[in-house]
Amino acid sequence: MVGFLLRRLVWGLLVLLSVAVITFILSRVVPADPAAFLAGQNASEATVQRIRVEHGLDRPLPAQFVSYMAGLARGDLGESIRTRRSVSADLAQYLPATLELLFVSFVFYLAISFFLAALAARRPGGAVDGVIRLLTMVGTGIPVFWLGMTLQFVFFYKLHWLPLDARFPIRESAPPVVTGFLLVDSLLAGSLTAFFGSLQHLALPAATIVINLLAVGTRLTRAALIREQDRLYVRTARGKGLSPRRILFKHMLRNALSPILTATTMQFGYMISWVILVEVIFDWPGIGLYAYQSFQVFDYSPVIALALVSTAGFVIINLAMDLIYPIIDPRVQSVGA
Amino acid sequence: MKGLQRISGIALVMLLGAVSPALAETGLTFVYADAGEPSTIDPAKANINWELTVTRNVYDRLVDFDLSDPSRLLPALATEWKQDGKTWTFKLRDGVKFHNGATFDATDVKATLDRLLKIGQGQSYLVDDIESVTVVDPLTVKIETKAPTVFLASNLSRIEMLSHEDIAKHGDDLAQAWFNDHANGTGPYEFVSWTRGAQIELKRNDKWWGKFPDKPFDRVIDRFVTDGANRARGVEGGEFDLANFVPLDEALRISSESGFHLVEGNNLWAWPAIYLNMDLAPTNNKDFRNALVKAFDYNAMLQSYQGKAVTPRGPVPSWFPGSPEKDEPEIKTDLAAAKAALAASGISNAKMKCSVPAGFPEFRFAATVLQSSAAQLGVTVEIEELPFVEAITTIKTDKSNCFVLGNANLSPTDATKFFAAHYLKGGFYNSGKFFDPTLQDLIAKLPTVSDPAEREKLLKQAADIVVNAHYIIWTARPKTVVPEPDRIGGYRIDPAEYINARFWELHSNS
Repeated sequence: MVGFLLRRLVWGLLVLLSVAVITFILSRVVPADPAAFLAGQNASEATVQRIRVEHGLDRPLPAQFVSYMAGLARGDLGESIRTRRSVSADLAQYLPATLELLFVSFVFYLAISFFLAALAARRPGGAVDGVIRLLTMVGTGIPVFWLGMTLQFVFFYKLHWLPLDARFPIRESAPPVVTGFLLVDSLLAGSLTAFFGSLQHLALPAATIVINLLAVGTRLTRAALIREQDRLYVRTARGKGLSPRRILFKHMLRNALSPILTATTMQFGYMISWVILVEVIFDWPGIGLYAYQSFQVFDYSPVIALALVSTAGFVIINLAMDLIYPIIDPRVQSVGA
Repeated sequence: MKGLQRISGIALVMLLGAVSPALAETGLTFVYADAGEPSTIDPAKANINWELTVTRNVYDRLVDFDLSDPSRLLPALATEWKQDGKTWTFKLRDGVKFHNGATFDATDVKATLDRLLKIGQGQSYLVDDIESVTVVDPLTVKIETKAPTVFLASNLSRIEMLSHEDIAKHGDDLAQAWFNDHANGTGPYEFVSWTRGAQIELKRNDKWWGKFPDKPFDRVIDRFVTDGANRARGVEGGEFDLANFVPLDEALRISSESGFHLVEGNNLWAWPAIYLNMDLAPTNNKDFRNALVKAFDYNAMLQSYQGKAVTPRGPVPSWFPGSPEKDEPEIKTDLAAAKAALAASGISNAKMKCSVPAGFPEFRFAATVLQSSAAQLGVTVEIEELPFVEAITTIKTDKSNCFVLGNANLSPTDATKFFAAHYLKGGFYNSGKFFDPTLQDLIAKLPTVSDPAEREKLLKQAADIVVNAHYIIWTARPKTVVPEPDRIGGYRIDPAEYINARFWELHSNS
């Protein structure tokens, strides 16, 4: 197991290094001038040149690359020309908002897809199964940006049920920042109003992500449950007179989880790209919005850092899945373990 | 399964139950939907709308001006001023305090202007003719200019005053890092916090020397809302109290609804203006440029502005003090004249590239109108959308023939800074590299002339030079329109500003 873990870690580091090199080169190929951006409109050429020298942008590309990689080795992700702060500080500020959105979306995605799959699997090919399949397929087929704007239109503009955007009721004071996760910070501050206010702001962006993911999760879980319910152990359980709920949660769920987790790992990539769109639509101050605003002005350092962070996310989740599989399903052995 | 349904039901009820109290307004809080997040709130660097939103409201300036008559200057941090050749003397208001309690005096004026000119960014170009600043006594400051300029006081109406203590004590870089995300002014609102990616919060300065209206707002949230449709929907739905850059059709629709009214005003000189490259073929040919100016479909632009725009006759709008606009001939589409000009140029089947800053639908539209207008002459226009800096760099480095830009002037009375930035050698926005020695001399002379009638004459000569060079296609000069809820009052459009709110003038009507 230790050897397996070490091999995966080395592979992960190689992947991160490759991503750093490729994104560094790509970011320098685009016709951007960060010094001119920093100097702002109306600045003289002398001012632009002074800023270029101050930020080392006048040096040859290989020298800039060596500096950047040396910085990376020290954990320095560079400075954002747009926010004029270190990228690490920006990520520390923006990342919790994204993680909170992804976590809540993920929990609801798993719960709803399992609930719908369980409903559909009770009578495969029946009316309920057909309706669920149709609705989830429609949800997945709708482009994320269109779905987000439609939800805003219906639930904010027409029904006035939910807020248009943001993480917290705008006119109220947010709880003191402890973890950056507003749900947690609200509870730490002992404010249920703040907790539900945050939850209410999470509703539409999370719904946008969940609806788009739902079809894959529901169909895979449905298929897994249908497959499991014909197995001998399920028939035996039924024969012993166990309740359907006990059979489902106690026996079938664990066996059905493996394919869902595999699909979820793959869907993480989609979630990263969707989260950019969702955060832009809902002005959600997470790394998706940060990425979008950085791309717009060709802000080198955040773009590279975000590529590294999302790649690291992939690597960590894949590694975690490799470790979790044998625990969920003892029949699965990690290769080389 | 029933348990799951029960839990879902309880969660939904709690979620919806939380909606009402959370959306309820608490006290006199004003929410402004800004189109972007500042890169800095340092007054020495701020130059974009959403940066100026903060600096204009947190800091004060030496003088103010009458929005309905920009040539009439009003006291602010300075109560009196006079010009004597190259020397300006300002008497400062007594008893003004910064938000941290420090007293404002002449040392602060000197430190602010010295810092601004050293950094050389933001709005420093408005006062770059300052030679030196001298503290005469705590309430008197003398400013020497490189040459006599009648416009210094009005240009200082755009320069925010900082505390010399802040400049000295927050690092050895002129406190640039500190001022990027901290603020300590003497203005009507105090900076409270900046939640990155979300909003900046301000609170009312009870000790401000100026006067607030009845029912002013105690707390202001400057919220960053990048999407124009979201800003419009948020104003309409009551989430925001006001927004900048609400798309025109949305602004007109919202203001026609019950509970809203439209605030109209002038502040744009041209929106958009198409700059033609004087150095790169085929736009380096004057007759070719003339053909494009005459072929351009100005009516298409006017229609897109739904009656809220005119076609400019030159660079300076009629409402600007001393504008020569009324004496300029009309510019209109004339396809026959355009074809004649093209024939005179000797150019046929030309191809050209146009760089458009991304994120401005009107700019893209104007480029598309140019594309279709030019096609009638057999000229092919390729449009390339890029971030602003990259787009302007493309034309400056002769990789593009045209560049689309919006024109506004931050000085209430001085057109020369606008001309210097847009039409003189080395000007930042002079992307097509226009150069005319007579114009250079005229613009240098204009601020030194004390007779307004003589200045008007010189300004007309300057405008004529630019018009006759066919350097720019001024596609339209729209009015600025802002939908204001009836529950809010006091919003006015500043003719020498982008579309920003003067929070200290706003009040609740409810």
